[in-house]
Formats: sequence, structure tokens, C-alpha cells
Amino acid sequence: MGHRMQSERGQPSLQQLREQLGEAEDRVWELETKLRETLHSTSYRLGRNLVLGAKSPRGLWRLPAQLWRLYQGRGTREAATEYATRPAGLFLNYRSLVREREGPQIGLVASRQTVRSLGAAFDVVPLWPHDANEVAHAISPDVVVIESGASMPGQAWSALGTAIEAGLEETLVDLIAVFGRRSIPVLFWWTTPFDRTADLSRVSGRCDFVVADDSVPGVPKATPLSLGVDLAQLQPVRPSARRDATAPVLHLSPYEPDQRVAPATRLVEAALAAGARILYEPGHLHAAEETLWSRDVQSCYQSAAWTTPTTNRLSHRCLAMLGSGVPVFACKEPAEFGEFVTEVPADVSIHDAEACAGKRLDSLGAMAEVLRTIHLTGTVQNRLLAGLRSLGVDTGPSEDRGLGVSIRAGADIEQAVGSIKAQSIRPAEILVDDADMRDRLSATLNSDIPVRPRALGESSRHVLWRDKAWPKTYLHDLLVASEVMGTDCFSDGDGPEMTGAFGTAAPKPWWIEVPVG
Amino acid sequence: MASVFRLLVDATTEDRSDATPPWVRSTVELFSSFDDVEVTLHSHGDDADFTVPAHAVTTRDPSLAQNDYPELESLADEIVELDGTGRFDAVLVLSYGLALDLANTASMCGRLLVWAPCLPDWSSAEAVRRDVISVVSAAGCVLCDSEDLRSRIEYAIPESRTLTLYWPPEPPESDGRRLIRRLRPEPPEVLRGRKLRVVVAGYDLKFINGILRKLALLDECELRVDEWATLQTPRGKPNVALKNWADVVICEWCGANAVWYSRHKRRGQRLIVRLHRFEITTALPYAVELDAVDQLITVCPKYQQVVREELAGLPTERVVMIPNYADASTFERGKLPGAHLHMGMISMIPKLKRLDLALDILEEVRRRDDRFCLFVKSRFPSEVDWLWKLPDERRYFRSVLRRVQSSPSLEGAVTFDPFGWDVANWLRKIGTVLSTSDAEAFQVAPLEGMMSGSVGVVLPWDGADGLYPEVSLAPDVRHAAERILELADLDVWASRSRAAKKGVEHYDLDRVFPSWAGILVEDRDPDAWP
Repeated sequence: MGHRMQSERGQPSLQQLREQLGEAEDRVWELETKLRETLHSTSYRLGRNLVLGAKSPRGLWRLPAQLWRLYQGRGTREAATEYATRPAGLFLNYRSLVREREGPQIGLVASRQTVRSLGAAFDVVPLWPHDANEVAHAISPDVVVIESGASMPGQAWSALGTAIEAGLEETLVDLIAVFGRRSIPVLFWWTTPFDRTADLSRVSGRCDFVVADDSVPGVPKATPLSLGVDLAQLQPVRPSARRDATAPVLHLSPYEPDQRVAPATRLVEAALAAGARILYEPGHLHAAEETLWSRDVQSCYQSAAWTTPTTNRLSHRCLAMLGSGVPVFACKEPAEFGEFVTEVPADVSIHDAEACAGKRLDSLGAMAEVLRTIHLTGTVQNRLLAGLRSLGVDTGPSEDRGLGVSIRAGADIEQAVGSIKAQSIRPAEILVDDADMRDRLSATLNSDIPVRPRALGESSRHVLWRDKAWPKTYLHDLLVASEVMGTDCFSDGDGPEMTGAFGTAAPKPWWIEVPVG
Repeated sequence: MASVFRLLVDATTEDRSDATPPWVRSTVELFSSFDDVEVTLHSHGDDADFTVPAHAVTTRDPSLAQNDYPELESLADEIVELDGTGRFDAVLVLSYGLALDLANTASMCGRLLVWAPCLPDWSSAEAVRRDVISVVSAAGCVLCDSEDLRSRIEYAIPESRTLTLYWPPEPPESDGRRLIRRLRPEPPEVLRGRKLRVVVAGYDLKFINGILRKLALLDECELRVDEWATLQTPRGKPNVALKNWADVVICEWCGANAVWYSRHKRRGQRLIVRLHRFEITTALPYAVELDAVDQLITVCPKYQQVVREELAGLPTERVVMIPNYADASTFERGKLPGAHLHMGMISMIPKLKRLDLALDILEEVRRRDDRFCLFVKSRFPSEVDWLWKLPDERRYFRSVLRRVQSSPSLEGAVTFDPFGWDVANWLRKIGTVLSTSDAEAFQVAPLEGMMSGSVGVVLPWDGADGLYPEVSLAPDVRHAAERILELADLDVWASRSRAAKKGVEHYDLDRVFPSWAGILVEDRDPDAWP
């Protein structure tokens, strides 16, 4: 039987539809080509110059010079390079672009096996080297995952990280920047033995997070990963009895060396990326953030006709959220709100701050509660953990893992205790340097939170507290950030700029709408 | 008796340390062991640990005390003075600063040997990169202590086409000989005592560039290039002055260049035309003044026959063959781990390259072993405007790419790498190179692949047999897939790789070059074939 072109019901077959699509694309291409050729043809340009010249005395005055330029440039084909534009149908993962999005979406630079495995649990858009950047502009995934296994032999990104494929590395770095500009978190996932994988530190160092399975030899501590922060300095938690040896560890890279993104900003961004319906009034965000914002976003809102920079910035961000399907934004000041809504699509419902049915939060502690809820229900990490589970990795009950505070010698005990007591997140334990400090701290704290000398080893995820000069809210910030990110240890470098970024995180009124239901 | 090759080595290191790097010692020892090489060691300070080989000449400056090093600028002046009017064939330097100074000296251009590890990190600043480019561009050769460094230089400095070589700590004699041949090719016997003025005219010289580089280094030849804009059109007006100047004109491609030069040939001038393949399908060869053509070069026996039949006015003995070539020193690089599972295809356009057949092979292979994948290094069809205007081509590529999009067995298994001249580098990850064309004269891609140590798999396009090793020819897709599947065994792949390399060694640039040198002055035996 010959090739069946028509189905039994008289509907066009897939083959017919493909041919029709091809013909239509060809026709579009031909018309676009003709249009370009017309616009660049001498006849058109001559006619256009004459018409425009005749419209005003000034135009008439310029006409001879324009005609002379036209004469000099005769025969040149200005439009020739424009043919390089690749028709959309030629994207190799075109199918990923045209189909309906199904649930959480992951942009994936990974081995074929991982693409298949995660594809069973998520809406996956594989990114291949030849058109990754073009596809990146066309999708809005919840998270992008780059797997080290993608660089292994037999994979499309094979030889990534080697000298012979420096172009691949650049492609990937560009890709990370593209998603970074759109505040889409990018995770680097070590799945291959570090010593048998090419040097990917330049790539991993630009990602927002680095995830490593403890079972991957060499990755968590022993290797000098260039992640923007020194992992050794951060003292990641050592494997202990309380933790499953195969459980994944999420190391947070709180800032990139050249961008200095504050964790507080990251915290908000992570919540946004997790789909949190957050209402917040931006005017009270700390001023330091102003300088931390990426230059691209700066230029974007500066070019818009907004009067208040902070409002504009957030408006921009929220517009992006609206565009990606995140539904709600409200603002404390009705005036600013009004300014904002002029740009909001008509089909989006806007909550006035005063009429908002959400919960008013007047402290970071309350916000932390909300973020914690969000974290437990749908953060990037939890989605990733779900992915890992789908691959058969035993991730352990991540939400049960406690959050400790590690206090270094020299810290102001009273200040530390005051700060700890003020937390809405109760630390699982407090680690100190020696027995003397333990006794002093236990006496001051007067709580059932266990205080242990560090010699016994950190047994939980923890936040490092070691500088008495830090403001009271600092620990809070760290705890919240750590909780939201789910990282094993959260700290900063010793640089003054990071301390400065935290310094403004004093409690301010925040509006957060708790997800209904 | 070949003339003496004179090498000057300046042992000044960037940190001015007295210790001479071991590789310098072994390099100097290697060259000193050649009877026809004179090594001059230019150094300051007392290199007590470095015994100068018996043949080497030292030029220590006695007026300088130990560790009293002169500034690099005056060192450069000293070397230039020592060199006089080009006494040395090559000058090897270890210091980047010195290399930079010498690179800015016009007389040193092409004779500088640069030790790559001395180059600074060129990614740090654009100014540094510009300087490094000037050094690399002025160098006759850049010696790299690892293949990775070699790749990095070639990638980062694409503006430079300077020869790069992997130079191990203990370089073997063959490497030394190869380097000397590159820097100063031995003039073939037929050219000795002559002074030829050669013009090469053509629009795309990539298939003849290696030959031109070697010709340019011969004292017996003065070479000029008349570059045409396309097969049909010159850049501006045809260059009458060049035509009048030349003793020999080589027309690369039988296009309008050949038509014009044949019609304006000067008395006593020698005109050589090279026809590859597709020109014969145009009207241009038929417009050539055939009486004026002294030699018409084809690249394979099949097209020699075709040209003899098509251009009946041209005496058959004037239609000769010189095969395409590849430069072994460029392509011989180590393969990356896992390369044996990677198939490669160089250029997928136009459709006669038959990407669809390559996909057939890949599907067949992956049905049994899904570790294999295909890399295609090519321009994308939509990026080539003349091609994309052809409805047949467009339709073909749409359907092939749609197949890549929709076939489950091809998902993620086909990667399109960007077009570029860094083929030698790219081939490091390719274990099997495919040739699936409908028609070729002498496709260079499988030749380069096999030269690099990839196993060739060539479907039987008309004329392919006799060009490539017998073992690389596969009668059909199924057999091709069978052969590739056998390569999953690393030992099998390694032995086939060696065989492939051996099978194409007679196409090495060094082996093909004498044929080109000979044809400049005398007619070639029409039946000669390597």
C-alpha cells in the first residue's frame, strides 16, 4: 500500500500538514526576501528620497547629496547579510517551542539520558549547542539546569570545557547570561566524577546554584571549584549520621565575583522564580540594592518614563512576572500603583494594597514564614529534588533537615543570642568553638536549643555567625536565605561590600500575599 | 647538497633566571645533531648547567657580567644586528617581551619561533590580546607544549593562520625535520637556479593555500596573488600589471579567471589552470582559450577523463592530475577520550552532500548502540543566501531537519557545529569521518579526517574508489553502519585509525608539493598519480 496522504475521515494527514507548513514557510521566506530586496533596491530608495525631499524645502536642499550617495553606492547589496536569519522552523527543538507548556518547565543542558529521565517528570526543553541561545530567548522555563554529564563523550555538548571547544563554553556562558538577565535561576548539577570531567568551573561559577550529589567523587569539598565563593571558607556541612550519604547537597553561590548580587536580592528572586505570589512595596528595599541590580535592568527602567527608580525597577520585574504567568502584583502606595497599572495587561487582576485579602506582614520574620511555606511547596530546590527522586536518587526528607547556627570565637555572645531569640526560625542547634563558649552561650540563651562544640562536627545545615560587627538582622537574613535556598551552609565572604549589602535589611513593612489555599 | 639551516636560539627567559628550560636544551641538542643545521646560542649570564653541544655556536657577550642582563629592547637590537641581512633561517625566543620586540621588526616576520607557554593570558585585556596576535602573526611557527594550548591559541587568535606545532619536551628527529621543512622548504630540483614570478588567480584559495605558503618561502619563487571576488568576477578590474609581470599564472578554479588569463596570455608565459569539479557544469571552461592553457590540472582520474571528453579542443596530454592534499602536521593531533563514538561530517551543503544518508547511517548505528552520535561542521543552509533561494535545496533541508527534530532515535544525537577553519581542532573529537556525497571530484573532508586519525567511511560516489584507502569504502548504508559499530571497540578503532592514516599519507602536503613545483616549469606526465 502506498503512502497514505489522507486519513480515513478526510482529515489532512500529518505528512500533508507538514508539507503545507513547509510551503507556507517557504512563501513567508520568499515574501520577506522580496520585501528586503525592495527596500534596498535603488529604485525604491530613489523614489523614497524624491518623495521625502519634495515634502519640505529642507528636504529638497538635501536631495542632491542623498542622490549622490545613492549613485555612489549603486550596485551594492546592503541586504545580503540579512539572509542569515534562521527561519524558526529550523530550530532543531522546534517542537519544544510550539507545544503547550505542561507544568513546571526546565531548560536542560544535559546528557540525553537525563533529558529522557527528567522529561518523564517535568516539561523539559533540551538545549542543544547549535541553537540554545536562540531557543533561550523563546522560552521562559522555571529553572535551567546544566548537568556536567552533558560534556561527556557521546553527548551533544561533548568536549565542553576542553580547549578544543572553547566556543561551546562561550555559548553556555552566553546562555547563562540570557537567563540571568531574565531572573531565571540556573543550576549547575554535578553528576560526573570531578576528576574525569573537563574543566567546567568557568561555567559552574556563573550559575546561581551548584548542586552536587554526595556520591559524586571529588566534588563537594576536595576540589577547588571556582564558584564565586570559596566553598572551603563556607565550611559546607560534612556528611554525618543525620544525613544520608547519598543525599544531594545544595551549595549556594551567593554572588558572582563581577556582579555582587546580594543574597537578599537573590532571596526575593528565588521566591519569584519559584512562582511565589508576592506583593511587596519596593520603596523600602535597602538602598544598596540599587547598585547591585544588573546593568541591563537598570538601563531598561531608566529608559522608561517612570519617576521613582525603585518603583520602576519593581514594576519592570513584576511586568516580567505577569508576562510569564505569575498573576499578582500590588503596591503599598496607590499613586505608584496607579503609575504601574498603566502598563499591566488588561486581563490581569490587580489587588489594591488596602483591599488586598492577603496577610500583612510587618517583619522579615513573618515574611520568612511565608517564604518557608513557599519553599516547602514549590521552590526551585524542591522541584529539583523531585527531579532527583525521579532519577532514583534518595534525597532524604529535606524539609526535616534542621538549620543550625555556627558561632565563631570572638563573636558577641549577647548579640548573637539576642538575634537568635528574635528569629522565627528556630535553629536546630548552635555550634561553638569550645566548651567555655558553649557554657556561656547556654547560660545566656537559656533555651532547649542544643549547643555543641564544633569538634563534634556540624550535623545540620547551618548559618555561619562570626562577626560581632554585623547588625542584628544579619543572622535573620542568613537564616531566611538559607531556608529558602535550602543550602547546607550560608555565609558570605569577608568583603565589606557584602556586609554593607546586608546592613540595610532591617525590618520594614512588607506586603506579602500568602498563596490562597 | 642542501644548504645549511641556521637557527638562532635566545635563551633569555621572562624571569631572567639562569636555569635553561629542559626543552630548550633538548631542542638545541636535537638541531645540533643535524649535519645541515647550524645552531647559534645567544645568551647572557653564565649558563653553567647548560653544556653547549659541539656543533652549536655561542655568542655570549663577554662584556656582560653574570646576571647583568640587558634590557629586552637592546637584546632585540642585538639579535637584529646579529641577523644582519637575514643570516638566520629561524630565531627561537623564550621571552614574550623579546618576541614582542622582534615581532615588530619587519625583517623577522615569518622567521620567529615562539614558545607558546611564554605568551601571557590574552583573555585578560584586549590590548594584551592585540600584542599576542602580533607576535603569533609574525611568527613562522608557534611551538606548544600541549595540544590543549595549541587549540587554545588557534581558537583565541583566529586572525592568525600561523603554523602551530605540538613540541614535546624531548622532540623526536622527525619533528625537527618537519619544522625545518616548514620554515624553509627544500626547493625541488627542477626549480634550483631559477627565479620564477608566479601569480595565483582565483576566488577561493582554501584548497591551494598550503601550496602557496610553501611556494612563498622558496627563494626560487616570487609569489603574488590576484584574488577574484567570485568564480565569475574579479575584484575591480582584471589586474593587467600582474598578468604582465608573471612568468607563470596558476588559475585556481576554472572560472572567469581562467577565461581572462587565457585570452590575455603573454608570449612566453606559462598558464596552468586547476579544475575541481563543479566548474565543468558551468559555461566558463568552454569559454577558455584552450590553446593558451599549458596544463590543466584535475584532482582525480575520473575528472581527468571528464575534462578530456568535455574540452575536446585541449590536447589530452595537457590534462594532468595532481591530487588534493592535507597537511599532516596540522591534522595529526591527539584524539579526545570517547572520540571513537563520534561520527563527523564536514559540510552538509548543498544537498548533494546527502546529510540524509548520514542520518540513515546514524539511525542504523543507534538502533544497536545509542552511544554513537553525529557532529556536522558546516554552514547552516539558511545562512547561504544563494543556496536558500533554491526551492529544491530549501525543501530538502527542511525535510532533513524535520527528521532530526522528530525522529526519536536522533533526538540529541545530531549536533551542528559552527562553520570555521578550525577543522583540525574539531577533528580531535571525531573518531569516524563520513563522506556520503552524490558527487565529488576528490572530497578533502575524508582526507583531512583520515589524516587526523579518524576512520573514514565513504559511500561509493562515482570516483571514490582509488582515491581513499580500500578499507574506508562502504557499499551502502547498512555496511557503513556495520563498520562503525565495530569501532565501539577501542582497540578495533585504534588499529583502523592507524590504517586510515597510513592509507592517506601520500596525500601529505610535503609529498604533493613537488608535483606543484614541477608543473611550474615543465609539463607533467598525464598518467602520473601518487
